[in-house]
Amino acid sequence: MPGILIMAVVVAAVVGALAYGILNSESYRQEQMRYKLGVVGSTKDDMLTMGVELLENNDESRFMVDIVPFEDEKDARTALRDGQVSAYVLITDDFINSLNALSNDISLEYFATSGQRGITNIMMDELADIASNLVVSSEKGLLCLEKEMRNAGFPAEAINPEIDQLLLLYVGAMLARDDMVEFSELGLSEGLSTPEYYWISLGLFFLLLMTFCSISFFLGKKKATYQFISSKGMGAGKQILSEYLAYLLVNLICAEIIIAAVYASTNRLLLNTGLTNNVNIIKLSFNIIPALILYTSLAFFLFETIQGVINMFLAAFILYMGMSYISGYFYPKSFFPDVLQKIGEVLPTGVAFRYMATRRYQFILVMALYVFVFLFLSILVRRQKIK
Amino acid sequence: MFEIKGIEKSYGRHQVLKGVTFDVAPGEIIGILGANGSGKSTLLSILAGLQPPNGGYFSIDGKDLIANAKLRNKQVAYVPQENPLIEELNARDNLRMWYSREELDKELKNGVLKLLGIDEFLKVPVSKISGGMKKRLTIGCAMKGGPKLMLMDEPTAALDLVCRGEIYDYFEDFRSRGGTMIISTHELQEVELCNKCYILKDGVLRPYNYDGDLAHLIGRL
Repeated sequence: MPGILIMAVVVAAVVGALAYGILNSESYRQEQMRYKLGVVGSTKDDMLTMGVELLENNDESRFMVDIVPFEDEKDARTALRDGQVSAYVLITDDFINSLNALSNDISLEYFATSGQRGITNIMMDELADIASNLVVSSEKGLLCLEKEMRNAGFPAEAINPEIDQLLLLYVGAMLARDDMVEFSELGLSEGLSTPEYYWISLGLFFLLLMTFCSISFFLGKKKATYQFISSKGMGAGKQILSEYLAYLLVNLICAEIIIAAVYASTNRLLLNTGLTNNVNIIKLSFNIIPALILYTSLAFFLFETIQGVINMFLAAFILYMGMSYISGYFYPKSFFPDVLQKIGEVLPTGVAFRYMATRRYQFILVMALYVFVFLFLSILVRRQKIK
Repeated sequence: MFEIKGIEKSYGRHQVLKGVTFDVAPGEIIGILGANGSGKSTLLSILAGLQPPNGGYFSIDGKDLIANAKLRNKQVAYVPQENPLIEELNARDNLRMWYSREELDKELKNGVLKLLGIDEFLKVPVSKISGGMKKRLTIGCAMKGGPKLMLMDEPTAALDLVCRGEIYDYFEDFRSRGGTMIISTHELQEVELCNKCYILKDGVLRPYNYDGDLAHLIGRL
């Protein structure tokens, strides 16, 4: 037990260092949740340039969006392929002309990679809203005012202050926009805030890795031991259940102690990062139990099936990494293509993540089914060993 | 009286046991001889309930021990060839898996564990005790509940002469108290201890009287 606890602490320290690195790094603070949007084309238009500048510098969305201007669509496409921008908008002359003609019949062209589709849809809606409701309406208002004043015979000296005043009203309207802030919350999986997402994803990854810490549970046991125990009336089923419960108990004790310690230290760290920790530790402590039951059964099955310590570590680690990656532990799952997202959702890691994120109890049923399958398969393997 | 009648076992198309039949009276030691892979361990594992036979009957005083697992676990002890103990635990902790605290104290004071001399290394981790001590400890664990029949798969394999002597002494003591044993063996010393011997060859069990002629024995295997 002391050895297991020490190993668990080491794993927790590694995962904790990873979390600290992410949350406390300058790049994370500057770039967390930032959506890099390329803008290609006619940014020479004064009104659009002003709108872009407002988005970039004054609007609340400056915390979420980096506007990256491109002269040429080819450059923007290369940047998108290289991952330097999340998407780019092509502002064509036709679009500008349609705006200037006080019509709104030409669409913006928006380009993104398939993995960005979730965020892209939100951004498209936002930009369409800006273009349709704010830019077009504001331009219409300004041009109408100018035309009416000219028709009424006002001199240019009288028109310009009025136009400026209306422009300031437009600027005020843009500055007052807070809608884009909502986007930051929607950008992560299952509507989680940034601290919640990292707490859950790294916490679950830690639980997976922690199953290695009790691996000594599975070492040094021999076929003769299973046969001997079986001859005393304790068959494969009872052996697996009793070992699994002991293994689960050890994992649970280690996990709860470490989560409490990490939570206490993370609170201090978050104070420095300016993020608030809206994670309820009591709830979290209870909510991890179904996930831990699932991961313990998965590990139990793997370690029961695979022979040799190195093989156990390698096979389980590769499997854990792959499952965690596809299930969105390291990146929000919306970054992946639809097929991978679907696979990730039905994997044990995905079901555990969705349960932790949504706390919907139907996921517990799916997890229970997985636990049953893993233990049943373990019993079959043990039966073979006893024979 | 233990009765073993018509035990059959096949793995796929390979028939390992073809109607193995013999009786064991109280106080007898039965030796099963045979070449490696002849099915000795399979026979013992079937009698220990580790795997079901394809056919046959195993009973004590007319009561079926194959169907009645509870009775079998009470009446039959099995000591595998390899060490089944948990190496990380000490002798006492291994015994505590089977004996309650009171039972353990009683057996150590004046019971089978005393006879086996387990109290000498009670607090030593199993990983640090000798092969003979491990075998004695395994027998001690197996003897929980006072079974009448002990199945031993090559009991002294890889043990030195001193350790073998200790184990044989215990066999004699167990027999003198009415205990019954079936051992699978390759050791002549063990063959000499047995009241009856059988040779298992090609799945068939035949009686064999060992008269000290090793060449004859080897020829029959």
